[in-house]
Amino acid sequence: MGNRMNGEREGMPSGILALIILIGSYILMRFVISPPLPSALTNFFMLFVIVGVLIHITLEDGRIEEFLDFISFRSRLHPIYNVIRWTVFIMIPFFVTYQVYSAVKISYAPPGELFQPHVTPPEWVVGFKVPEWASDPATWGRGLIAEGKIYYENHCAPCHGKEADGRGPEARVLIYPIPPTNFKDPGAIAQLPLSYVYWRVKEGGVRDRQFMSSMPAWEEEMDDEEIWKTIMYMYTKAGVKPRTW
Amino acid sequence: MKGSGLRLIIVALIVTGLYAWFGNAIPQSPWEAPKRKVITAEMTPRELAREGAAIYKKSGCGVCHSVVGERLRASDLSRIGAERNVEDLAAVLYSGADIMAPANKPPANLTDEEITALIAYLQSLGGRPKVRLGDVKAP
Amino acid sequence: MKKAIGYFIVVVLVAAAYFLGKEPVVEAYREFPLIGARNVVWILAQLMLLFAAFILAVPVFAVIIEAIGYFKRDERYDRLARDFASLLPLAYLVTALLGALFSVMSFSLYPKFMGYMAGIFRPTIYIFFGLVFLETVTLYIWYYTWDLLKKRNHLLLGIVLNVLGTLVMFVGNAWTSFKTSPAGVEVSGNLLSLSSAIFNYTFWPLNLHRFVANVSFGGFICAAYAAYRFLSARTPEEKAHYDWMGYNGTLIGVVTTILLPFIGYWFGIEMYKFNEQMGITFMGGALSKIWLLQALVIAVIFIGTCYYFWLRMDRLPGAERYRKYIPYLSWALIIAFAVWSAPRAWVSSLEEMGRGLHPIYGKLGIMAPKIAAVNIAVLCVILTFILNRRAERQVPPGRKIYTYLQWSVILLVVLLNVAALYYSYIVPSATRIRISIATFLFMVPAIGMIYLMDGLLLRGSERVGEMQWGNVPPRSQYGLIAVAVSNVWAMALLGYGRAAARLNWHVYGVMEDTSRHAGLPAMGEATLIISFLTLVFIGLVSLIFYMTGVTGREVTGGER
Repeated sequence: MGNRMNGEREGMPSGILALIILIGSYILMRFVISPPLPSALTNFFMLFVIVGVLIHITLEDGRIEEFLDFISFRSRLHPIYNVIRWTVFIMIPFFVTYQVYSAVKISYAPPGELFQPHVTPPEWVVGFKVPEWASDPATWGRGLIAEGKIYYENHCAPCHGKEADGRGPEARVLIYPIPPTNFKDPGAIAQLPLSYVYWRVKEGGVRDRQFMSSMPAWEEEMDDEEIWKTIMYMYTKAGVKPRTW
Repeated sequence: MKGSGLRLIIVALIVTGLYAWFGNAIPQSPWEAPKRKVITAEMTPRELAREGAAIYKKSGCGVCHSVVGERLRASDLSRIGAERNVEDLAAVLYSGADIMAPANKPPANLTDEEITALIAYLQSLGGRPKVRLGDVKAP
Repeated sequence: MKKAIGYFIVVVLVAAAYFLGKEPVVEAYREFPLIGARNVVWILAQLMLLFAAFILAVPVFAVIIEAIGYFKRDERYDRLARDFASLLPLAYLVTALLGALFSVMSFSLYPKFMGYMAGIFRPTIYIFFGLVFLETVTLYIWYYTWDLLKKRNHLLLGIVLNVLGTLVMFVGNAWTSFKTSPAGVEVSGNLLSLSSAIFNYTFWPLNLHRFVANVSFGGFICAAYAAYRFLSARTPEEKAHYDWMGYNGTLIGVVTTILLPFIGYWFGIEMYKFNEQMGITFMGGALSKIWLLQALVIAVIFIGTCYYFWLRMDRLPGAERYRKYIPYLSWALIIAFAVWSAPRAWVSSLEEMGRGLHPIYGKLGIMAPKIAAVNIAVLCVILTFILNRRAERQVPPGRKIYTYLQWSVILLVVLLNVAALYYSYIVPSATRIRISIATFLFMVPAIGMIYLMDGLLLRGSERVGEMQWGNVPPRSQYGLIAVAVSNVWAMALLGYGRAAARLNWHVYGVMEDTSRHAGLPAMGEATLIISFLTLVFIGLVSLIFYMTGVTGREVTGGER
């Protein structure tokens, strides 16, 4: 690739390759992956792709020259590549126009949200001592868990699912900002200490500004003991253990 | 020499600008510190009593005292409002008694305003709250 | 020069008098006009810390360089070290001024809190100022006996200077880490034991993290300075000297940077041990956006450094054989960092929301894939070094076996990481963390093996051609400047992160912040302040370089 030629080049010019990579990764993120990536996140990842392409082109002097020749129309190319080059060149103003249009167009979508699955708990959770009878998963009795099953299936299963997989009958309509948690997910309750899970059940998500989920606060319907039994059943059914370190 | 100084500045601006742009581009909101209940002089005794109830719960008074007529470690408070006047209540809260720590010292660590609210709550037990901010003098 | 040191001592004494003579004040907070008390203290504290890092980094760096010069018997190293040492007196003065300004500001804006801190740590404040005094005197002697003492003794003195500087940092770290993870006090804040207040949970991780980060900071600042001089150089000799200097600075910077993720995770683990809710807040709660930004900054630092080394290979005689591997490395790094910076949950709008956590970036957002990505990224950097080294050498025939062994170690690392990643989605969290730590620790022997094989392979080998210092492409130098700026920015960002992890507490769980600045600003506002103070810092450092006259000094002789 290093030596420069004035005549027609062999093979695919790096400018075309760069285009294919750029457009290809955009299409991949927005149309191939399902569901598609949010547009802001796509732009963020496109930044990586663009930097990657730039690094690739500037790694050797020869490549820079070839690329400059390509975009300045100095090199003569195979007709197909030449057509592509002209097409892209003509498309650039349209592309910029569209970007400006979509930036200023009035949108009724709710503002973006970087959703935090594990929000900062209030102060009382920080120093909370789990009652001794509920603190060690190894000592959770069968009777307690069986009792928890009743509460779970009455209160929790409609959304979080009988199998603790987050697919209860109600889950289909609760999608924003986040659907009911799948307790089997290794990133969910398996990552949290008991005190945190207790807080989430007790105070729910409706009151928390950071969270804003539709999880009800259960403290008025259930007493502490019932909440603990429910948590025991929840962990047992999901087959995961709370964080203990 | 001058030229490369300019180049240095441009690179520094681009790099710090990129990070600042990205920091502003991610969806975000400030994190607010939990709000303290503000107790003001305009509050009616009844409002003070409502605050006082929350303070009673939060500060751990219920560890020893009951408000529903049970005998726990310490005296039952269910009729305290009828039995004691403001001065007595304030004296006990500020200086403590036997094993009870003064309410303005750790672990409860209440402010003067919070203690007034607490007295309003205690008055509401078996009576009506009458106290307002400023009626209780810290010793 | 002597004047500067005189000023410095006066400033230190005044600051000491101010600290110790302060009577407890009743008022808890005062306000600062326009930008607010918190931002003023924030900016001053961070600027002071950056300068403190600078005056700690430069002696470490200078002594390393001096020692290399001594053992290699190469005059250039000695001169480079001395050039850098000449920055110190003025840098000390600026640090002391900023420190004095910072303590005056924080004592007058946060009187109750600072009074409490001074009460807890009173004995250590005396020690602190004693050490600072000793360090200054040692610096003075060290700098002025450069040619008088025997090299070996001078190096020893340099090490003493560094030990003193590190001790000063340790004392400061005791105060800082106490605020994050207080120990040795009652719930009400009364002091029970000063030694457990000092040796709290995050004390040692903070010490180690700051020390290593300071060395790499020194290396990158040196490289950026060299890049600046390279770009403005006129003669080939100058170009050659600064090319060489940039190379050495970058090498020291990046080797120490590779250690930092390991120490950073230790820091995180200690934080979880101290208080798991704080760990959650720090890693996934209100502060989770810091890690998105940090990934971007670290990406610039790593990729920028590697870019420099790759471009160097464009001009290295004998590197043609290995150039074809470089694009793979660059794309591997890009992908690794894209994985590292993938957020777990990003909801942009209702239409785009789909159903819950995204199947792809929702899975990439948790810890395990990020650790795999960091491992792969570190591996790519190491491979870049290896290629750079090998490009200069003629590999002796009949040693193919070592190359195969190297490849198998690399393959093993990749396979291990992929397998660990796969398993980490199946097993419970406690096991998952253990797997992650194991793959992380496995990197150490793996890198050792790769280097051992490399040493055996190249033993007694001949150079392909002489390195032509000074003809590296200028665009690589912009990479070095960007890396240094990013390094400063990263320090300011993570300094903010560590302080912000306390949320609305001055001392976590012991002394609450009840001022109106108790919350945290939105990330965008924080990044603006960080960018601002980074620019101020770079401006001040450039001024020191300029005033010390290092920039005007001519390069004479000694070039190859």
